Amino acid sequence: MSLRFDLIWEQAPAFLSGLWNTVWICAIGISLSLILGILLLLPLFSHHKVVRLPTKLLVEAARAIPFLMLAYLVYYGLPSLGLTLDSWSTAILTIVIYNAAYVADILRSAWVNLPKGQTEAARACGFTGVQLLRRIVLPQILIAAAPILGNQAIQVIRDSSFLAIITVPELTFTAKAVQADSFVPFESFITAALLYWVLCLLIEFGVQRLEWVRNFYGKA
Amino acid sequence: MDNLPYFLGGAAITVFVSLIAWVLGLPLSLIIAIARIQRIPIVDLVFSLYVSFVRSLPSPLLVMLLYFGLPVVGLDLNPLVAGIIAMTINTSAFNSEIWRSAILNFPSDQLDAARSVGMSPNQSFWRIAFPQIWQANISNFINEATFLVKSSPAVGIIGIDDLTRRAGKIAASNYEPLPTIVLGMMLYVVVLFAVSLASRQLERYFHDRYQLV
Repeated sequence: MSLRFDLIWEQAPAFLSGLWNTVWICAIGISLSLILGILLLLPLFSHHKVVRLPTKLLVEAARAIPFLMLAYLVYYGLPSLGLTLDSWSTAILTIVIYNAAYVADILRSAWVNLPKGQTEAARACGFTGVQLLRRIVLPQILIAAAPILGNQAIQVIRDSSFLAIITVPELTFTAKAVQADSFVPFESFITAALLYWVLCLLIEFGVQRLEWVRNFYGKA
Repeated sequence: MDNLPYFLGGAAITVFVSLIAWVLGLPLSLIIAIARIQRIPIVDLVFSLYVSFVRSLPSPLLVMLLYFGLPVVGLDLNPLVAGIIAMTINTSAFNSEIWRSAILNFPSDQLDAARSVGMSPNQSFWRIAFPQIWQANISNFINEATFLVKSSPAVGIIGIDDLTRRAGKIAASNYEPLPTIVLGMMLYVVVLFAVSLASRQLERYFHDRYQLV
């Protein structure tokens, strides 16, 4: 038995492009899902049951299905509604829908834990509606939930690996292609695994750096 | 709808793989947690790297690493075994963090009391701390089980016919992909709803039965 990491080294450009695809798909997916997750807070905290309950149900349901299942829905299911997406758009749309549900739930529980006095004081100062959300609530719950959102970002990167199954050329797909090409399965998969590790360590490091913001503002 | 029995079979495989991995992962993660808390020199380092590595390792990649990669190193696994091992490794890393923080946060006065009635450290852990930690964290462990169910489609890559793989197969071949996949999704929702219901019941049962910390 001899491990042939030299063959992996020859494929370094392929791995880098796979890594890059994983990074930008996840970056766009996470950013858009953060926005959508925040927007979902409006119906989630609505005073009207007709709005609140269905949204809550949808968020709960989205959190109960596997990522790959949703990718299948977008990839195989949407064309029958007349919406055919290429694998890139499928990848991003799946991440956005799936992750937005988690973001909404994380922010919802951060909001529930926000001291009531904050919103009461803001209302007393004349803040209402979107202004109250944007100026008072959102900054506090985003800072309070930062570590959990960081973990969720790592979860998105792990889930994005499933996209290899619908032939998105991201990191896992690259590893699969390289192993099929050069018959170096162990070396190829372990290389991809190490690259994922580096990526996630970077996110963890970034979240730790955010701690100072928390220490500065946050007794929230 | 005539695919329902086929789907239910897939759901059974999903539940089976997840359940076995959950049951195997619990003691494994406890061992990891204890080794890290005891600060056994090299073992501690190895396990902390293991936890960090596995926590960022995507399940599909882990499954393929075990199934396609290990034969190169001389270890041939059948798909079901490889899939279950991958899921067990996956959950062990997350569960060990639950054990670890629970053990570290266990009130020390109880352990002092146990020591004062003559229990050894081992006895006081297994007879006093462990039962309380296990019961107080049952909902956290079951929550990990739901993550396990959601990452279990990874075993489909190596040909285990779980619910997602079956749904994907049918959706790719029949002319009604949308209802097919929605049906598969609903089965997942049912499974996970049942799991969280069980979690709530168990938590209440333990809480009523014992005065938990």
